Amino acid sequence: MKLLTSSNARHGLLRIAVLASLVAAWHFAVVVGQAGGGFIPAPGAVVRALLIWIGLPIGEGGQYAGTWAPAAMASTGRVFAGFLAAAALAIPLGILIGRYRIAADILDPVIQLLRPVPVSAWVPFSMVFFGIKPAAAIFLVAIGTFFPIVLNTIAGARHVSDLHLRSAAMLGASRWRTLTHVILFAAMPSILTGLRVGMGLAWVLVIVAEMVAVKSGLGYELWNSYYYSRMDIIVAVMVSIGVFGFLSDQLILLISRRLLAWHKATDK
Amino acid sequence: MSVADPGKVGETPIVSISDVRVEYGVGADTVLALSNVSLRVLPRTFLTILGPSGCGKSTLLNLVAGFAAPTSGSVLVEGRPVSGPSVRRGVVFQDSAALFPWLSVADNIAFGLRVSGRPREEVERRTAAALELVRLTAFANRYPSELSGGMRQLCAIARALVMEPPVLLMDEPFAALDAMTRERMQAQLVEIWERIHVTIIFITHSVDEAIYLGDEVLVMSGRPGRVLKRLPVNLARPRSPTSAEFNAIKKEALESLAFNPNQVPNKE
Repeated sequence: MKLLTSSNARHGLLRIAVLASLVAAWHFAVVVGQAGGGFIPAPGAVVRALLIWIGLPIGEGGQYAGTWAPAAMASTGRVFAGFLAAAALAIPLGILIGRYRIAADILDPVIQLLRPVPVSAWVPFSMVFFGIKPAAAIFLVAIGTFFPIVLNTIAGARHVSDLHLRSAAMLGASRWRTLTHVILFAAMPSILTGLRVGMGLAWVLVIVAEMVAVKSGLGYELWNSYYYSRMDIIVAVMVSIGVFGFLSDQLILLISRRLLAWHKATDK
Repeated sequence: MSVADPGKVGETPIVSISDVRVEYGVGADTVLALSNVSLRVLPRTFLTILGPSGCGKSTLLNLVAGFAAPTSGSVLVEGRPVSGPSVRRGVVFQDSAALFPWLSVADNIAFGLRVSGRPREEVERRTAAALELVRLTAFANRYPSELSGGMRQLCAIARALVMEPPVLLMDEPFAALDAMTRERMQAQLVEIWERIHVTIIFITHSVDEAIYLGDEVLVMSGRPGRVLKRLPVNLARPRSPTSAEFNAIKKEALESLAFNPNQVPNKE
């Protein structure tokens, strides 16, 4: 799997140089400059904490040793469960709203009323409704990712070329086949944009939910390590979240490239 | 005016248009696009409709295709009033963007057969035959965006003909092509038409194209579109645009177009 989009070798070197100098600056600020008064961990300490957390047999171990994988898997599972539930609802709904006046008249006001409510404002509600349980996090992710996916799908479905609709009609496609064989594909670039935005939000939301409403996952570990004053673990959690967010985004990009091979060719 | 081919009296026309009037808009903004147009086309005819831009010839085609309805008058195809698009009337649009860009050439051609639920074996056999007919077999797996403009229109022709429609409607399909490609396409279209049983109504604003292709040329006036003249072209194919007979017909066509002081046909 090719993760880096730019194949230019010089860009690759520059990218590594920027990252390395950031880490070096951090190291010197903390170790040499004593920045943070001893509370900020040095990069080396964070890497060490992360490796112990993952489960490598180095040093003391302690309560975190080997608990990384279950936490990471819990959060990832919730991100994908909420994300897939949202997509499964938002894509068909967006196509209906985008194509049918009746659906737009009935559903658009509901969406427009719910959309301005910040997803974080749903936290107390979901805690009451689901309790302090994983379902609360999945719900929050689903609510938050639903809106970018549905809005982008609506936009995509509305802008299907008349030529394609006429082509489908003269080739005998029924209404249903036109939806599944023409409109869905024509809207695909927009849908994938919505999915990508949604996936970015999903990681924000799972961490928020786990900090408050769930007793497991990376968000829970993040808040917990604050109470234990484990700054090295706090930063290790942040690094882990960053990596997972990046990998999820790359996954969506990979799927986009597969599904939109034709679109790339059109762009040329 | 109504013109029946005197040599074939008694044969049932496949397309029959009577006293058609088409208006767009409402109130003072009403535009009269077609006025008092009547036309009968006998089966297996290659009819070209020649007229200046904006004369309503595309409107006329859209009536037969079922994409538009007349304000008054009747449009019958195969003896039945046209009430909407149908697989019995294939359409090739002027813009080759009408092809589905997310489907390969073969899948574009197979689209109509697939959405009407034909068995897989039949879809493959008929798609292969249509690819063969337009000589695109070697490009079956390319996307439309990877083809030249001429090849894209051949794909559009195959996509319509694979459904074996009794009538093929072509709306200036070669207008966007360069002169040399266009000549090649015209020759290839005549070849295709000679191999299969189909009635073609072909819209063009090129006098040469109309005479080169048609059994008959229907000359239309500028807005509001009326039928000015119906010219039979009794020349053996392939025709030579430099022959004396060809130019005699061309003179007649240009003279009838010149009747309308505002209208000058686009010179090639």
